Amino acid sequence: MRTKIRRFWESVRPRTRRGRLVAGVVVLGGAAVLAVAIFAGAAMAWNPYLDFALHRDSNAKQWATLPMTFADSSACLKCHSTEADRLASNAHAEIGCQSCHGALLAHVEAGENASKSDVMIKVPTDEVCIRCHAAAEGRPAGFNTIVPANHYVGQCLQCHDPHTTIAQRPPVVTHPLANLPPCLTCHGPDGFKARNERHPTGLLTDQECLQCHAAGRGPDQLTVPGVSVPPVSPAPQASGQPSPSEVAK
Amino acid sequence: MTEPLDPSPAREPAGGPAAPAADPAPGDAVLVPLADIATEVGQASLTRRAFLGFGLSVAGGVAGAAVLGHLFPVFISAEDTVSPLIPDYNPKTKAWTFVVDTGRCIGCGLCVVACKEENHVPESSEFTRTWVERHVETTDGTLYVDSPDAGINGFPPESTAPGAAGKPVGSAFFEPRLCMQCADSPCTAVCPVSATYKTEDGIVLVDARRCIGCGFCVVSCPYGARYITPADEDTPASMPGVADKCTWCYHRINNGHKPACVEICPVGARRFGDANDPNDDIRTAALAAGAQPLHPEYGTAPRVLYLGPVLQEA
Repeated sequence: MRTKIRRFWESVRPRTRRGRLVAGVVVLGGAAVLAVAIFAGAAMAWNPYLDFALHRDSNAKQWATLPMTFADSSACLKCHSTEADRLASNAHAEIGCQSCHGALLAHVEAGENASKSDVMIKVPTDEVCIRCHAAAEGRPAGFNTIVPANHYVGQCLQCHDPHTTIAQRPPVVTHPLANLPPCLTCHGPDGFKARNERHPTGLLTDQECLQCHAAGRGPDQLTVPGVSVPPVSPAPQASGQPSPSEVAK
Repeated sequence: MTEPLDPSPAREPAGGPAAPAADPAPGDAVLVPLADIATEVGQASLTRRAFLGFGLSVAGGVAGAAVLGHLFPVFISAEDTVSPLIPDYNPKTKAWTFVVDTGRCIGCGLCVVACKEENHVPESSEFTRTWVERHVETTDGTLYVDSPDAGINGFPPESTAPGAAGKPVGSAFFEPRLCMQCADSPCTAVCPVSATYKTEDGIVLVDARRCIGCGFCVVSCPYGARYITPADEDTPASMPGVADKCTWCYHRINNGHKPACVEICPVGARRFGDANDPNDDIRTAALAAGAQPLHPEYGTAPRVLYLGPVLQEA
């Protein structure tokens, strides 16, 4: 091999001064051309100013790399399988967690360090429920709606569990006494049989009590002499909408 | 063979070819220097073996460079399938499809809330990338459309459109709206500075650095999907006074996620997918179900498809 190379070199090596000159010029010139080509290519391929140039690619890249705030809905089920199982068989099963609990990407990305403080909305307010379930023109047929004026609005989650859609109905009240005084006499905060914490605080009128604990509000048939029961039929501003007793199924 | 490069030995009747022509004939005047050099070079070094060896070296060098360049690509080829913008994302293979089912929409407005949060859209309801309209047809046949605060707070029981109050309702539905990402988009056509453009995957974007805020695109859009960002807000492009619009959450769909409004919709009224993906059910949702674009008569080839009741605006 070595002799072959030597023989090859002997055969091609320049033998005159002019030949050496030509060979030198060819070799150096070729090297120079190569160097320029590689430098120019590298300079074209590597552009440190692309992100600052008025170039469409750089703009599309800016749009494409903006930070997100919402996670994929499938991400929640990796940890919260218990809640997912509870959800699986009810009308809210198809609803992603973030619809009610807000953007949760930070909570998901925290992984094992995730804490409740990452959750934007730990307990949704009634506003979220009302958005969907208040009767309004345009809601699809068969969608469960209530007329807020006729419903016990203020603490939806006290009676309704959105993860199972099980509603705890107002209890059957067959009052043992006749000629009743105002409800709060006995069931006020300081009464001998105070209402439980599921009830709204503050002083209620009998009218407000009977909004739930009266005929048509459930299976109970409580009537109080001298107190007119609020109408169960839909409020005038929501005519044409199903009544709460119809939709509460 | 000592004179391989002698160009025309037949024309050298006198004298040896190896010797320079001392007194060339008048007709050979041009050939003399050539023959001279050729002879000299031939005498000096150039044998057939040398010539072939040199040629082989050059050919080998070129072939080697080609192989190396193939193995270690320096330049971006036009045939490259992978976009240099996002790794593992090839915009040319995507057929993004957005389907809105007005039969399912309950008008909760959570999509508007999610969009504002995801895309830093200014708070005021004048500036919105997506919104929900309520279309009400009263029993006397009149159509009313209302969208209080773009639907971000949901909807009151009755239509807020002027003149609709108190009229008995025949039929009504909610219609979520967003940028249609038109295939033949008027907004990109009218932009005087080419600030708004269409990406390879068909999404119309705005380059805030080029936009001069003239508002031509805002008035050219027949679907009203654009607005000029206000001066004193945290705007999507962090640059006030420029045009902005729905991007179908370009930062999410590039990375394999669904747009925020699709992610948050509780009833599946908004669906999104890649019609080129055989595993994506958007084909059955959209094409098989007969989804239609809104107002195709505008001639902009809108790419959001609608299912369910769709009335023309009053």
